[in-house]
Amino acid sequence: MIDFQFMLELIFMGICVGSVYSLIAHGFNITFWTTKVVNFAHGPFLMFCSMLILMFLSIGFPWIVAILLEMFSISIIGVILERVSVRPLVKSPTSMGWIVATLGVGLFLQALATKIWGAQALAFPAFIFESTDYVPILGISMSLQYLLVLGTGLGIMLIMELVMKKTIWGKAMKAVSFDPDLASVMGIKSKSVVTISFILSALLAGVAGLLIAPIYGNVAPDFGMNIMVLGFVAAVLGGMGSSKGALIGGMTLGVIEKLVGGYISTSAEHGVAFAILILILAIKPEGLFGIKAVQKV
Amino acid sequence: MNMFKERLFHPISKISFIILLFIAPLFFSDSNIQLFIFWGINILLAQSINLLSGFSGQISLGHAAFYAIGAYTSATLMIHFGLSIFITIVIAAIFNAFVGFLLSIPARRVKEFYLAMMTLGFGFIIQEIVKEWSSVTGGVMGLSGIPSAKLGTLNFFGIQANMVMYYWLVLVIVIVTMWLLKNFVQSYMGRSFLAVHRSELSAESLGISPGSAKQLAYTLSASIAGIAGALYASQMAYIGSNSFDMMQSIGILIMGILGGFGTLIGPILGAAFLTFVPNKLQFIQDFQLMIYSLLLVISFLFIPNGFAGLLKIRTSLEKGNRINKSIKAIPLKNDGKLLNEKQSSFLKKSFSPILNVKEVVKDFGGLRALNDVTISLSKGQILGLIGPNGSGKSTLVNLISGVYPVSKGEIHFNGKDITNMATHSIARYGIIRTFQDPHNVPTMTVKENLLLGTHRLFKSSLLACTLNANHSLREEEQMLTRVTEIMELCDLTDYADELAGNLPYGMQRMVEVARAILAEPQLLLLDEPAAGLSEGELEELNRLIRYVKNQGIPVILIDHHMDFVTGLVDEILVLESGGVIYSGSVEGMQKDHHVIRAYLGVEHHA
Amino acid sequence: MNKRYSKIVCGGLLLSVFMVIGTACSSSGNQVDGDPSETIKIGMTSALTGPYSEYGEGNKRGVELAIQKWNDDGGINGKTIEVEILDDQLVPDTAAINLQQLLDDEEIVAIIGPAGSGPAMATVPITEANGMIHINPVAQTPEITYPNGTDHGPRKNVFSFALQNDVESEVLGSFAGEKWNKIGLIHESTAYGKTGMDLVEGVLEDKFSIEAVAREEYNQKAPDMTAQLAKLKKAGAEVIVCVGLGADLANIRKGMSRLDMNIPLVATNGALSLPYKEGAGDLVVGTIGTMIGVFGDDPLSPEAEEFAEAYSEAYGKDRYWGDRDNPQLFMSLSVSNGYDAANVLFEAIKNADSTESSKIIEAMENIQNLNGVNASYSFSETKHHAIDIEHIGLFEYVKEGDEIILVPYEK
Repeated sequence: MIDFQFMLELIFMGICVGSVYSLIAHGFNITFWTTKVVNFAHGPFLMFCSMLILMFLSIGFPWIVAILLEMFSISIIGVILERVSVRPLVKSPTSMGWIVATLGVGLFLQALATKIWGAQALAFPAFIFESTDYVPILGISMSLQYLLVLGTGLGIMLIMELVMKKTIWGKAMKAVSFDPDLASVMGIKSKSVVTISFILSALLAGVAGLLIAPIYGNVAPDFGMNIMVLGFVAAVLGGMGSSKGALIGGMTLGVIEKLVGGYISTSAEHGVAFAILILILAIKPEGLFGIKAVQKV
Repeated sequence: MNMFKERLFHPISKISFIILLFIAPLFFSDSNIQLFIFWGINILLAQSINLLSGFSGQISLGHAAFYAIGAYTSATLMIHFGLSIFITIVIAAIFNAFVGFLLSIPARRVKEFYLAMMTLGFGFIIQEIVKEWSSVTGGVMGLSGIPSAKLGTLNFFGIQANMVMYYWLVLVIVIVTMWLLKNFVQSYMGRSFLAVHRSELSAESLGISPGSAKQLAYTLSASIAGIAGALYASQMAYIGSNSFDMMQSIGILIMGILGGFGTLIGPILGAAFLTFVPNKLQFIQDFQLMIYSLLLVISFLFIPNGFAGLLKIRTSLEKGNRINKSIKAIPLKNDGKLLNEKQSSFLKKSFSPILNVKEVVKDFGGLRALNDVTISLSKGQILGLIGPNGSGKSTLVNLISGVYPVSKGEIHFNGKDITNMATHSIARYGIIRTFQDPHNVPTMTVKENLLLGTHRLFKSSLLACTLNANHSLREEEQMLTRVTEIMELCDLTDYADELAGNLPYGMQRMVEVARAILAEPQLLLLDEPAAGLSEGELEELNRLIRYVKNQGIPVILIDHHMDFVTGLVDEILVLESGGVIYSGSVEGMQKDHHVIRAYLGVEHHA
Repeated sequence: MNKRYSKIVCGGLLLSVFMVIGTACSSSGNQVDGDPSETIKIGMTSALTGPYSEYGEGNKRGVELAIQKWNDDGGINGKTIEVEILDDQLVPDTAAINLQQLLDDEEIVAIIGPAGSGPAMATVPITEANGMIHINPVAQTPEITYPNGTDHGPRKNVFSFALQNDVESEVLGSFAGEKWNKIGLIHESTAYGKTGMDLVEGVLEDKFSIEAVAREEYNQKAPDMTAQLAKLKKAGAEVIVCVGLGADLANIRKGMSRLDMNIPLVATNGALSLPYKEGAGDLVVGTIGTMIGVFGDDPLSPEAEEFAEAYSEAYGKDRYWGDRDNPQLFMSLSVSNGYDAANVLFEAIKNADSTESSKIIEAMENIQNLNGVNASYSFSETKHHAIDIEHIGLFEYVKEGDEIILVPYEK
């Protein structure tokens, strides 16, 4: 007899944890739309944001100011990343250049954070909700911190779908993604669109840093990398460039992880995410909701 | 090439350098011997990723996994079965090659950052397995008690080995690996790696199967990393799962990139940098990660070819030098005959159609790009293909060469059904094509690019190529002779050692056409070869195509230059909006009012 | 690039390569700082930088404070103490290279080892083969000192000042076994976590014949541990016993609260670290942890007092010190262990009145009841570790007014 309560608990937790992955996957999507670039520094971005907020809070700024300052700083870092490691390299025939360069920026932020704030984990205070705040759903207590992430992820998905489908902005992004030179001819400022997409992606990292750090309670300089890799898996599983995919991919991953952990072995939990990654790439690289890339001659 | 470099690479300086390396440890302290051993291991790692990422262009963010597998394989065999290190190194290499082959099965299907993700995942999975499979790997506790020279527990043929002997072992392995690698990258297989790196499509058009090339790259690269791992395990005497994490993979990547991908000297320098600098300059430690990460950021921008690029070191990708030195038995024939007798006579024999395209349809989504096109072409015939932009000319060429699958209809070549076959298989049947924009490998010289054309004619085995077997050298020489001949024919001799990417546009075109001819095509598809050519170059191209025709090779020629086309072709096919509106002789076309109205009248170029 | 420029670059780079190789060849122990007959030099490799530098940097401070103290008192039998510290960033390869470099320096007479089990395991075989005395200040795995298990003899040359896993687990297991019957276990998937938990299980079985209701593991810094906790909950655990680091413990404690698990958490020393206390916030109340008890004493022992004074003078009341007037409990694992290790080593060198390894080792084995900060030290031929059960205390977080403080646990 299956312990229904236990399974439900696992599934709910999986959805919650998965919503964290989705939030990161959303960040990958924005830049993927405009340049087909995935920012390998996204995880460290997230860590850096949390660290910045901590720093501003410790100086004595109120939350709102700390968040605004952090968002501002990370946008600038996003622009720098775009200028330095994406723009000059994105046109080369292989993607090795920007992968390595963005990864380099990520590692640099990690090293910088270690230098400034030390290697020890720093405590991150609760934001909006405490980790003890929860609501009971079907007899299972759902953490409000996680629900906040879930809600944000859902909100971002809706906004993105709307923006991409209904607004001139979405059309501009699509045009730039299709052919930046052609888009320029059509009067779209390709370069600005790309830059703005990197700013938006960095801001999403900022939001993620703000919402995820309180859940863990601690941030250390290597905090971002781990979780970024899981965000990648979520994005690939859902299909790169699909908002719906990011949300559902993240949750699917979370639920599978928790079910494997709960019913098979928690030590297999970590491996299973990567097994899924390799499997989905080998069988269906476009993911659950992605669009198959067409080879251009 | 400047004097200094010539001296540096002179055989005598090379040999004295190697002798120096052999006697050096006798004067070193133990810690420096150990450092040099690590340099050797790092060279192997850097060469391993160089082969995979530098030559064949397949990025790997999980290379430490191969390193780990090699280390654990060798270590467990030594501990549990008491095997000698010489055997465990070989087993580690072979087993790793097998793992590399297995990984290549999913990995060859993806590219770009999807591949980066996959290799990243592979790295994590192997690390998890190492951690959890504690009965074999020692799990998180690691594996200690590995026979090691530095503890005096390692034996070479019954003699207790010391650090100096272990150093010599590593040195010999590195030198042998380097020699084999050099032979390999200078062979047709090595060249095919770079071709796949530049453009899989263009590689396929010459009969190179990107899948097989990648598979080979993974297999070889993994096996080199396996050797490195085996040497590492015995050097350290203890291995733990933490030594093979993502940072290790990134370290391996940095060695390759910093040293210079695509050269053989570069990775040696990159490995030296990562081995010696942090150790000798301890104060750097504090900023080590920052420096490494900044190097990653700027390397592709400022030193795209790494240290090797700064030193202007380039690894030649053909064995011309080697051959001139050793084999002088076969003199260069300069009788102007490109194709060997047997083939050309075979080509001239028959006049029945060699290519049959039957009622072919191509739809893109809901859009019909080509509707019911039928062609038949005989040997020695040139078919001109004209029509306005978007009329389906290139689509037709892409269908014949297998770049796009056919929606409906059949294509037969030489009596065989080649409909929807892979491009490289079609190319191996002898259908060779060029592209609208030249698809040469810009980082290869003209000579090497032309050699790439002869790829499908090579028959030497992998072993023969890497061991420089006599018959493989002779084969390479034969191809080089043909290349020399065609370079003379196209006035390219002066540019033989120039990088193709540095040539003016028109010349790049000529190189591509010449490359296609060298592939000994049985059908040549030229997609706008004259675009962007000067008057003189046009003339040369004209000569070249006539030469091909004289060899009995049928040609399909797409071009907008009316005079150029009409002067060459036997028959002409006019397309409009995917349909054939005229098919027949040039004279007939000029009178055909459909054509005049649809095409000539509107868009007459000449 | 023109030819001349490339020549210059070419030459410059080659020159630098040769310089590096040159220094590589020349650095074999010919730098003489002071007269060797007047100094005693020890070598140390530890994680001074990088993501795991917390213990390494702390140890370095401890060792340096001890050296300062001895040199202020006139050195060892009149000789000044010097230390060469190399950075290994907790990478085993680097630690092995560093160690070899230290061994090459003929002036160095003793080694203080790295701050983690991986690099420690990679370095002890080398010193063992060489015979030089090797002090292990931090790494908790017993195999470093006792390669064939604690019931067999130690490596001749290795002396441990660390809180060994087996000791910590003994205390943890005994406490849990005495108090609860349904015990859930969770540990990190490292050498520390796995061996520690094996030992706890052993204690539960042998002493109390209790089989744990469930045993789970997690990766260090894993983002989420709810599956593990849900399983423990399902198994009906009345208490959770954990072997892990502070930051992860905070995550576990929060996860427990999310799953509405109101059962006690008993954990290894990580529970008393700042990352746990700060990370879990108010939830820490009720958590019980094991730790070397010295900084829990009120008033502090004279040795601890002396150490605390020296530390605060040199570094102030920083993160290692913690947020209170007295040093935090955790300092005994990050700083004062290094301090003690160096002090005891110097005492042994002084007693041996020799820099020969075998004599120092003999003197070390003869040390009895030497009062240090963390413990009173006694070694013997068969006992090469110092911290034992009697030095370990159980501490509990309690709320006192608005403040959460740690107090010795009262049964």
